[in-house]
Amino acid sequence: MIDEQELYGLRDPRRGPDVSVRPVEEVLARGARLRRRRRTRRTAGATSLVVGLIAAGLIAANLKAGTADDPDVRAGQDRTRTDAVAPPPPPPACASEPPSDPGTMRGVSAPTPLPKAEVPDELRVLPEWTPDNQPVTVAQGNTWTDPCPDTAPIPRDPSLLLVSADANGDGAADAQIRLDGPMPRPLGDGIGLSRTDTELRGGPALLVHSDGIGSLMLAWTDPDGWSWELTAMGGVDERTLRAVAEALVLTSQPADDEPVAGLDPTMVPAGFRIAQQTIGTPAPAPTSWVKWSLEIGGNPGGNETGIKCYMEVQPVAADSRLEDGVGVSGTPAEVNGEFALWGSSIAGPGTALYWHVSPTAVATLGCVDWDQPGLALLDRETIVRMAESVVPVAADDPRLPDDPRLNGQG
Amino acid sequence: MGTDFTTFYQQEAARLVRSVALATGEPGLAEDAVAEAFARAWSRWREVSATDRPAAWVLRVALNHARDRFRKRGTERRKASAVARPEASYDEASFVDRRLWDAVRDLPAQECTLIALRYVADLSQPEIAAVLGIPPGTVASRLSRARQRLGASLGSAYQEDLT
Repeated sequence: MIDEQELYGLRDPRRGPDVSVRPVEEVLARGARLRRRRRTRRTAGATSLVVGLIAAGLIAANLKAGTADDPDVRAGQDRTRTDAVAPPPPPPACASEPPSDPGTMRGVSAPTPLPKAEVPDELRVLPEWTPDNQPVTVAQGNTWTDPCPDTAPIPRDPSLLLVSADANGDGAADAQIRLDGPMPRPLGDGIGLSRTDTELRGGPALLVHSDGIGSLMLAWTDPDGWSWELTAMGGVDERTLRAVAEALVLTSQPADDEPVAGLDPTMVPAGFRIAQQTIGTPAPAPTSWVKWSLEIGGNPGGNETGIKCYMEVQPVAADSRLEDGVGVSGTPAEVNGEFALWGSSIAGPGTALYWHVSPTAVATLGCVDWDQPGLALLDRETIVRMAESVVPVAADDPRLPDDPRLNGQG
Repeated sequence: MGTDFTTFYQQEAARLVRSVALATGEPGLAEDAVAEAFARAWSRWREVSATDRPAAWVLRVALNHARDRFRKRGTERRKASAVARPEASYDEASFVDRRLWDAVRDLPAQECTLIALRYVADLSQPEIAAVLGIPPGTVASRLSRARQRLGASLGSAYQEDLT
């Protein structure tokens, strides 16, 4: 009888033919495709359930196909054939969405002006110190509403957020990749965006450039009807963004302990880390909310010159962390000894400060120097100094200019 | 979750490919089958990672996949392995000694698979029983018989070479 120790020698590559293993990326990509197919079949089965008797055969076939993935069945069956089962319908179409307005973003209607006196006191604030003593040039209250509350809710937070290290030492991540979804509707029209039809994850997609601020977005709708938006800021190239998009394992209806968006660490771009990941059903964004908006400095009504600051204050849940309340991540900062975040804005990562002006209100502030070439942003110390000077202000404070949209009423 | 899977893959993949290569006699097919089995594991990693031995799950799927591929090709397993297998050799210069590997490949199919799962994949006898769907006692007895056959087929010259 041969000795057992000798048999363990069969593991030695010198004792048999050469073998190699596939790159883990290849395995992960194949696994992600299998998972999407299975989810499609599973949802198709659930949908069929309510269709009626005629669907009974489909359900049976689907259940049978579903069990084929179990480990105790004969593997190797051609799973792709089961994809003939019809995909589930998309989320309900928006019945109330108004005609597209070129000044609006997807998911929100044009804002309705709100007189200053009707803006909640906790939101109505202003900074008493500004660079070069710049005055407040615009002060507005606005009511924003979801134009389509009759569909599934839009998630409040990014389902996945990747941030890079702070290589340039400015106290903020140099770049970020943010996934939003599952969205009940595809990306709508937007302002200042150039779009290119492309392919992604085996289907059509949109590649969206935002020239000037260096952001790049891939938007697509998966076969189950849910839409996703993957946005990169801070110089992430298209190839990197595509690689992330292809590797995502997406779940529109996650279990309580399941991530909405899974990404194997090997597919996280070099230098990035996962900063935020939604587990379980995403928290819905509110369907209506008030914002207090200030513009400080600049040249209202004319060409932009000099320093201009943009500040917004919005309500948040009382028990929310700052990161969750505004859906951003960033570098910890301090405003009057309280926790703040130096994070992203539409201008890119590390361009705006976020802090609580009250337990249920968060302010965002960033400044641009239009006299400098390119997009010159004011440094963090200046922004923090402004933030630390923020105080509540009465609706009739003379430092607040009238809102011309309200014909002297605001 | 992903970290666990990647680590699991890096730790286990080569050994499992080698196990399936020994069981089937076809390294290329083994690479395909194990990659497919790992992909299926990743597609349902939450459940697979909760099992006592995820590697056993992967092996089971890989072996089934390999068998299915054999069936589809209409090729008899033994015939394929005989064609694929080169002459037994003992190359001192490169320290390649395939005699043991080839002797295992000459065993009856189930015994060959048992050796692969036990000594290459490092599964316990109960795990092998679960993977192959046979009683644990059968695993033990057939492993013992396989070792006897190997001792006989390799002979004393092989044992002397080892020492």
